[in-house]
Amino acid sequence: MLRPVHSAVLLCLVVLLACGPADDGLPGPAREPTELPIPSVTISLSSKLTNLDILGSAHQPSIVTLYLIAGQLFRLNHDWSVEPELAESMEVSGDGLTAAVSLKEGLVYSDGTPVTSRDVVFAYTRNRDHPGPYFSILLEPIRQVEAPDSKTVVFHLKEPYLDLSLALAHMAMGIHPRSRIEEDPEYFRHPVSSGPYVLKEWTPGASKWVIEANPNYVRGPMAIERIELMAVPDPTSRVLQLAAGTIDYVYDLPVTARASLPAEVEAYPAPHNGQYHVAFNGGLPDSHPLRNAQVRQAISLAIDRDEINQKAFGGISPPARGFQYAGPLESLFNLPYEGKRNLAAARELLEETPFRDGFSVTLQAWGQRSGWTDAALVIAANLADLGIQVQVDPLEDAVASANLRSGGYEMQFSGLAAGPMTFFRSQWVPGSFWTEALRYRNPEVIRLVNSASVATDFDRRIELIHRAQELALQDMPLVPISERVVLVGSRIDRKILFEANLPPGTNPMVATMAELQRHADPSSAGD
Amino acid sequence: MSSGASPETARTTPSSAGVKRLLARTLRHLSRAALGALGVLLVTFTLIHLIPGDPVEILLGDAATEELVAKYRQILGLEGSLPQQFARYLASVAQGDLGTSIQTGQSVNSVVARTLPMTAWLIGVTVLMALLMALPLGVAAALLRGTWFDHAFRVATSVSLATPSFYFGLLLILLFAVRLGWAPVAGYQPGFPGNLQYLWLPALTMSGALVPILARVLQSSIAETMEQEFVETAIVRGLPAPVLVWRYLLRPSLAPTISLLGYILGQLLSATVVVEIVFNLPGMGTALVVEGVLLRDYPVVQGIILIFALIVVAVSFLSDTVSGWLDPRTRLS
Repeated sequence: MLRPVHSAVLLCLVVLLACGPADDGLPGPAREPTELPIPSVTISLSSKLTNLDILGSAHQPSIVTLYLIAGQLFRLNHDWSVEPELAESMEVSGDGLTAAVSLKEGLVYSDGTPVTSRDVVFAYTRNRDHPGPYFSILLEPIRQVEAPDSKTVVFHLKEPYLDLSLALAHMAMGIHPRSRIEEDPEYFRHPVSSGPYVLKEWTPGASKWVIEANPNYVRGPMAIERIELMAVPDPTSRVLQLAAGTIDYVYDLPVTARASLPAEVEAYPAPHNGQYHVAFNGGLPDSHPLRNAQVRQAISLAIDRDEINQKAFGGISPPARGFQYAGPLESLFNLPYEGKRNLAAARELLEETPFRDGFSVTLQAWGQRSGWTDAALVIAANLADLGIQVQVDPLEDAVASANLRSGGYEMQFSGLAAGPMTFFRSQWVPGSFWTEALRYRNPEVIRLVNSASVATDFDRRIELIHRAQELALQDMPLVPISERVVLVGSRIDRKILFEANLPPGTNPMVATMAELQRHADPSSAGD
Repeated sequence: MSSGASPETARTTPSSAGVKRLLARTLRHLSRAALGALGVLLVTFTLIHLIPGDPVEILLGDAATEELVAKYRQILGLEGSLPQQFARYLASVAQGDLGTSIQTGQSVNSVVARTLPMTAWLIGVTVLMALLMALPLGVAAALLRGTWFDHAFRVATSVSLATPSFYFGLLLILLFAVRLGWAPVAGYQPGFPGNLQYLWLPALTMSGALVPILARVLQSSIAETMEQEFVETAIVRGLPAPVLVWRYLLRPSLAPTISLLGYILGQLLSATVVVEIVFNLPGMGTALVVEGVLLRDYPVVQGIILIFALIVVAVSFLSDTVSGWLDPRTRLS
């Protein structure tokens, strides 16, 4: 219920700002790239950092900070390719069941102690022995890890694993010194770093924490020497602080705020590596209209994705054309009519079902998220044209999530962000969150996704995963809506943020935060 | 015929009785506080567990499996029935331990210790600011009844009361922080007097709701006092205006305002929740919402609300005592 209020307030603020003098009290222009390295920037996140142990938390502040303060064997690039970080090279055996990784020479943590292959083995065994949220998705295919010498790590796999380097680039495989973790139960309150930054100030639950460039980082030095991360839960406060210059970078801005920002703040869309969708509860009684695949297909045809993009997301969220966002080769754009609305076709499909006279249904939305309730309202209006009466129910995040898990919903507007294969596994393979939430089981789809996951040949993987998407289209367990893109506001020159190692991670925030890992090389900053 | 008690005894007896009355009143307040705290604990515990949203699922995110959720539930001490969990919680609270945050692993006592000073400062500055504004306004409105000032006062206080604090706060930020640059947009640095730079604007925001109430009550109270005979006598005696206003008008009229201040502290505490979030202040209100409610961190929610309840009880006791000092009629009653 807060969303309309926030929007109204933002509108008032926009008007007030527009009426006032042009630049009173506002700081100067954004920093030029030639000023590198930038001594300090302040970045806002929407919540506080509560935990830095990968086994204990999956919140965005933890994810962002973990990627910045821990090195991995590999680091993700913006296009989902990976490049070595702490690893020098990786050699995979002919049968695809063994991978030997050599570490770079002279690797040390921020405190000067050496990074060893035993630490890498420990990163894996710790995940295996104390399963956290990521083990089953990423590290399950690994059977055993050993360190024959201090610079070599050998991964023995249960089956060929094309995405091994991707898994080793995940924060779950952040490398920390084994001895320190074993000796100090409070280690993750003050960890050392093998990554780009090192934690300098943090009290769990405090609103601000500080990281500084790790002088021993193997790929340093960093373009930004010090980053202050601040939790600013109120979106309007984020806008005001960005406008006033007390914050340099805001990841998730309300789209309505764009007009109110001063000229020196650049606002631009940042891909979130995911999609919005309408999820259907597959656990509803068989007699429920939404259990009918043709009804779900008709709903997909009746939804105007362009309208949602414009009205709910300010035009920054490209309409979906398939089950996965554009970019990765795994994506297949197989939505009929390229995802455009076709009400006649929708009516035709619905006519063939017992629900041709329409029905009533509740559409839940994550009410705290910018634009999500608005999108649900557009969908409700779209479906009214089809004779389906939709009541929109905006919920607190925790409640919406709990409903997905418990099956306490009919339809829910939600979203998923993940890497290409993880994206499909998360939706269609049993055991993962979305598959369980959707109660979706199609043995052939599961077989195809599993086969694609272990394919050693990339072309074969693409073929299999495309077939899975074709089959899923017939079932339509969820309706893809549009790509997840968020509005970023930055006082830091965009070139500094975008040119270099831009790992998207499995989380959009990670992608953007990792933009800050750029090397302090002025020659490339101005390219 | 015996005169009874000696003069000394006669002098000390009322004093002993006064001490006894004070002790009895203190004990009564303490027992009420204990009962109130127990009630607050029970209600908070029940409500936070009744609302949907599981802290373990939130902690683990999308990738949480059933097995993992069960495992973490055990690790975090969330297993067992609700009465069992409540009994465990009550036992630890009785020993002064408010529990451990599910999300951060920190003790709730340390969360309170970290956030309480900031909130106490905010409330202190707000009350001071509100009194400094409400006293002259209330006196002026009472003395100038029926004039244009009285009408303007009524309109202004109505508008102020009707404005939501988060909206009022944003307007003040826009004016004083963004436009004029007189205050930081948000944030906080501890340490007096530097912290006042960060507190005056949030305090002014909270005063927006407090001043109208206090000033209106004071206005009515003074108007009532003005009809008393002792005021007429004072006027006839030709006492100087400051003496007349303070001793004969303001002081006897302040008691209801001070009592009210104690009672509306609960409202003030709830206002801090909103204002702290708007101004990004790291106080108990922010901790309650951001660390507690949104993440379903049960111990944090329960601990902070318990502290809120105890503060309300303590301030209520304090305001009753101050009212008694200001107006002896309150003591007699």
